[in-house]
Amino acid sequence: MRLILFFLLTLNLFAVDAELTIEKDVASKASISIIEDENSAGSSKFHPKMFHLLINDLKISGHFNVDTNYHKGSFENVMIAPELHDREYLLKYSYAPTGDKLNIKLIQTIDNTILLQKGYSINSAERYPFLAHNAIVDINNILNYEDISWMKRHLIFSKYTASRKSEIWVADYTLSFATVIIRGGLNLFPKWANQNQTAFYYTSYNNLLPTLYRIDMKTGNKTKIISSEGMLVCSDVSHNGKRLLLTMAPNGQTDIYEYTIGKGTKRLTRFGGIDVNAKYIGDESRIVFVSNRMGRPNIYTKAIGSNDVSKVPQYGNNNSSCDAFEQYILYSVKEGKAVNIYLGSIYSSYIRPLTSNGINQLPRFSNNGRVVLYIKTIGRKNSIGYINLATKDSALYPMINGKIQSIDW
Amino acid sequence: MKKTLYIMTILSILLISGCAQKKELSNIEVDDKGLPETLTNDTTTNNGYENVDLYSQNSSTYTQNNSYDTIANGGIQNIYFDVDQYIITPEKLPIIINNAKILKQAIQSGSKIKIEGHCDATGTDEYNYALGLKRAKATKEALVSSGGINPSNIIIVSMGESSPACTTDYSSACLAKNRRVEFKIIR
Repeated sequence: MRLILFFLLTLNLFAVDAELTIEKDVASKASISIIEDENSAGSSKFHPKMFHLLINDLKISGHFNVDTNYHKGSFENVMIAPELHDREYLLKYSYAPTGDKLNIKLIQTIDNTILLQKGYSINSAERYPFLAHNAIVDINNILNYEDISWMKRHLIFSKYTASRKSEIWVADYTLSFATVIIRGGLNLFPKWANQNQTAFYYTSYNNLLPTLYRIDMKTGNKTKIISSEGMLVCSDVSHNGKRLLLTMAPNGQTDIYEYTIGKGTKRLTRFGGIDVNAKYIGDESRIVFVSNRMGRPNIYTKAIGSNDVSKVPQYGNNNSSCDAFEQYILYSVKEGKAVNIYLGSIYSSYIRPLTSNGINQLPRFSNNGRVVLYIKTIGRKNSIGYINLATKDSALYPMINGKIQSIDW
Repeated sequence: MKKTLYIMTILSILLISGCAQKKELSNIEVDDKGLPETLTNDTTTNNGYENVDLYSQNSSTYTQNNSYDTIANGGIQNIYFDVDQYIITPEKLPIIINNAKILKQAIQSGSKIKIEGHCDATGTDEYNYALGLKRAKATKEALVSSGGINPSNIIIVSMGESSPACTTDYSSACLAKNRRVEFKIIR
């Protein structure tokens, strides 16, 4: 018995840490400098912006030590300037004066090998940021670094422009490109309808009843999905695009519903208070959602088809926004005058604060769960923030005007 | 002694079994089906360039307009609420009853009543839309029970924080003006 006890006590000394390990050890980041083709440098209004886009994309990827000095040189000449010999990689780029084409070369300086040489085009020069984003994603992939394809996705968001007025916009993640796609009246809660971002849902308040529409970005078709008295929000879409999680109030009572395209709705929650903001988790047989069933808004989970609801382990007792990826959740916690974002898990008590000041809301996982987007409000100003969960690199992009009401990416 | 050893053994077993599995987010497999494909109108190279534009044309802009008219509703008072509250307390009933008298006349002329629930800007918008709806629903129920209005003549909707009455600052007094329901007469 004594031997057994000694053995068990000894095991405890090597027990695994109960916390989830999120931070990935990045032993060293590759050093890289950027060189613009001297023949086309400064030949359009987009040229200075392209340099900064490439810098920032490389930084937020978390995989590079980026030389922020501006270098010009020959795009074709293989010679490397002496001051750049100590860099591991060089990114040479030639950006066309028309603003709609970008050529890149990724060079490994140790042996002058061209690892990647590629040209990118865009249909409209105003969408030039996607040239940079796609180039950096490809550079990242050719070096076998962790996927950062989130970088080339489109944001879709609604913002209030005046009382009872809001517009829906599409943008790149830096807001360098942004264009309005729906205006007039109150248009809210846009949500991408598929992984390819070729269609989206949104709620219009311009009819007597809130109505959910689907817009196909390629054909321009607008389709009415469903109406509901009171309120109507599409809070999540399944990976195959065939099921929607809706917050509806057909009898003035807010609950979570699941809408299956071609089949109709199924009520998922039955509670006399407030149930909103549902997200699929895991294999999409479960949801997490925000509810005030214990007096204040907090995060709960249930299996679709089951009546059992359980509270998710979380920090704080006033949490009114959530997003989910696999078994991980993001949520906003009201802490005095501040609202901060926390990362947690539905299966453990792991908690990690991601922000520390201001009003931080609408947290969203990237498509691979590695980066978090959120909206930061200080005073009357909104910014879109990003946090790389593995490397802790972060960035903040300010909105020029308007208050963001809802966002998806 | 034996009892002590027995208890310590049980506690040790419980301690080991209670430790969570260590997981690394970076080692968790990502479902490839969830990763987006970037669609372009031409995924093959075009004169040596990969077109990375998601949309083949300049994106369209849709402009919408309201599909119904709102009539001015002089004499009708708003109802205000405390933070996170949506109950019609007794002191609010005289307002309900007075509003009901005016609204009945509008109903008799063929109009309907729309009750809008509003919130201040604290908290996220989706939750606030639900809270606004609770306010609108409570007000509707009070209009029916205390004001004698037929519920079929009333539509409720939440406006969340989309239409603040006070935007001068974020003081308690200013935010309090935004936590309200409004009554609209519509055709």
